[in-house]
Amino acid sequence: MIEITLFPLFFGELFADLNLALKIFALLTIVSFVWAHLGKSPLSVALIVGFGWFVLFDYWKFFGGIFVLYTLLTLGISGILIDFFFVSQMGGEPTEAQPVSSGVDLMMRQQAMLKAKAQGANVPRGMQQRTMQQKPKRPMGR
Amino acid sequence: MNERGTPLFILIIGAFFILALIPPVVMYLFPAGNLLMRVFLALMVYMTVKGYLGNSPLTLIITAALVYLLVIKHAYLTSSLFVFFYVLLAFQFLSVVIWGLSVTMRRG
Repeated sequence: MIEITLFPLFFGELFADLNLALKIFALLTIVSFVWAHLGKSPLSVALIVGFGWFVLFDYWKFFGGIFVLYTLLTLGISGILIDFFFVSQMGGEPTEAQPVSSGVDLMMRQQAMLKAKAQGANVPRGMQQRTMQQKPKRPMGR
Repeated sequence: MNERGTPLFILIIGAFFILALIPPVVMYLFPAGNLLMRVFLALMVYMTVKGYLGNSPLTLIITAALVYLLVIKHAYLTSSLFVFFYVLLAFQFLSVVIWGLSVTMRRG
């Protein structure tokens, strides 16, 4: 019973610790950005303090999410999202006829059509012609 | 998202969840792996902070704070996040997982 009541406290403490770690990384990003542009000078210190106060304390609710999104985009999550939405649209069996991709695919389709024809199915003439008729390959150099 | 995309979505999320669970489980089952992972995470934290601040006493102070928070207090979560985002995501392995699952779903 005690563990159940303490469970939300654990997640609260976890969130607070991760929030603090995120703020430290955000401060490091600000410091490295300012030092890269201005070097180590009193102006850079003033800018770091100003930007740090603004980002980490005043509007952290806004900048925290942006920093997490920036980090994820830097790591490449946009590619994952593209793959995911692209693949989920293609999920399941293809609804359109796919072009012949290989000799094995052609052989399998021919066998399926012969089987369907033997069972009395109405095989489309155009499809049958496209897969059954093949131009003989010319030897190279002639 | 169409109807066929919904089970694929669940499958992908499940696969990601399993991949994220592997490092903490390995750390829990193998004490040597636990120690190795913690040392590696501490080194990664130090290298990251040093990349931002260079060689200075401030680097060690911030490294110590982050090592306490991430490596000592919440090592399992940090290892899971590190392996999932920093290793698998950065090396595009998650794309391989997504495409592999989609091909398997289409064939099956």
